[in-house]
Amino acid sequence: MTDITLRVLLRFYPRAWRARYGDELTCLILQSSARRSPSLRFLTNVAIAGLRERLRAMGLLGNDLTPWDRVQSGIVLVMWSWMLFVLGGIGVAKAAEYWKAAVPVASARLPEVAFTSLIVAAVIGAVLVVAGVALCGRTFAMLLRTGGWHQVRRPIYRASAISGLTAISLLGVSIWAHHLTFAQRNGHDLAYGVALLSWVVLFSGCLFSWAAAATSIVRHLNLKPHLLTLETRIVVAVAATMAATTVASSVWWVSIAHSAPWFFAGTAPGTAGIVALINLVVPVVFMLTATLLASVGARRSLRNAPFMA
Amino acid sequence: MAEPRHVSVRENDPPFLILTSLISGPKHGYALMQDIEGFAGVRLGPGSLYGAIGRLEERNLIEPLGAVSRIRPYQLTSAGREALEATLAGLRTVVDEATMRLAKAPRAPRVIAAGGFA
Repeated sequence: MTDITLRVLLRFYPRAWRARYGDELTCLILQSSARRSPSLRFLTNVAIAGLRERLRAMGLLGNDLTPWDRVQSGIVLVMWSWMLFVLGGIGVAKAAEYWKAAVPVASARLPEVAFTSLIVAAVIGAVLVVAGVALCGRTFAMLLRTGGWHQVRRPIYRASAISGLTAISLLGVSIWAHHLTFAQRNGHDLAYGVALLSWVVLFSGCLFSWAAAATSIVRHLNLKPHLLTLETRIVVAVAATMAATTVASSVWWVSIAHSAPWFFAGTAPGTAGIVALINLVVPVVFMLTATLLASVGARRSLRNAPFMA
Repeated sequence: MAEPRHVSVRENDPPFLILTSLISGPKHGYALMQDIEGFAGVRLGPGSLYGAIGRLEERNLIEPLGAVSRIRPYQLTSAGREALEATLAGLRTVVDEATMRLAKAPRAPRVIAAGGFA
């Protein structure tokens, strides 16, 4: 086994675990693979065990941490899922631009209901997320008053810097877009497409850097059990709105594919069309993944909340 | 006195196999793997083995001895021994009951079918 493979395998494990068992595991792997090169099953076993240790260290698996930590970990997972969900939602919103003009009036009812439900569920979810953040405000202020700023400032600085860069580049992309035609803005100008994609990557980085900052803050907050219980109810509701939004998006997609497939092909009404396009598939997969992760996090918090007292 | 803690009772569970292996004396990771394969026919992957070692150590059921280079042998603690005894007692009750019921029950006719008993 090469040094690189060994190093990669060990990276699956959390740092603290590596510090304690890393040398022993390395020795065992080398001894086990001395006679023959390790099988895929062997390597998978090491990697999956490492991921399990990471989940344990994060409080998302097992009962090693306190119920308080486990509830908090569930909340943090829902928060990260929400960020992924927002990305997917933006993708769906972009793919759905001007859909009403493409659908015949006679078959517009179902997509209309689905799209309205999608927006309502997404808005409720966003309000709940804001409420959840606001609930932590007082405890966060207390953390700052007691000298906690130095513990959380680094991820906040990083997120702020990425946000600034994202805002500046958005300005640039928007100015550029104003000088382009509709067709150029929608895939017929390669340079603009690359710039837009780069901005999306930057925006994703911005979202996730704030999620990382929020995670760091939550880890340092001393939230009282009644507040954590309330947060647990909020994350369960957020996960439910995410599920509702995903279902509504899927219904909208299917109804458009059925009644106006030309919309996805970008051709004139009444012509042959397609049932899906990558610009929609990827965001919906993001939304679905985020919803599944959020339900895991919400369940984790909900199951451990009663044990906090 | 606290009630002895049970360990997992499935015969191929890594914690149960590790505790059983350590009855005969301290062993390091590779020796544990080989011993377990020898007496149970179960080949534990390194990840599963060290995952279980971590859990058992956290629960004070096993403890590390001084490291020899990078290899660290483990031994059973008294709590580990108690936990294993409690687990075995629980298993023994079920095994005895099953043995008794098997002896009393008439033998069923042989059925050879997909997924059935032979």
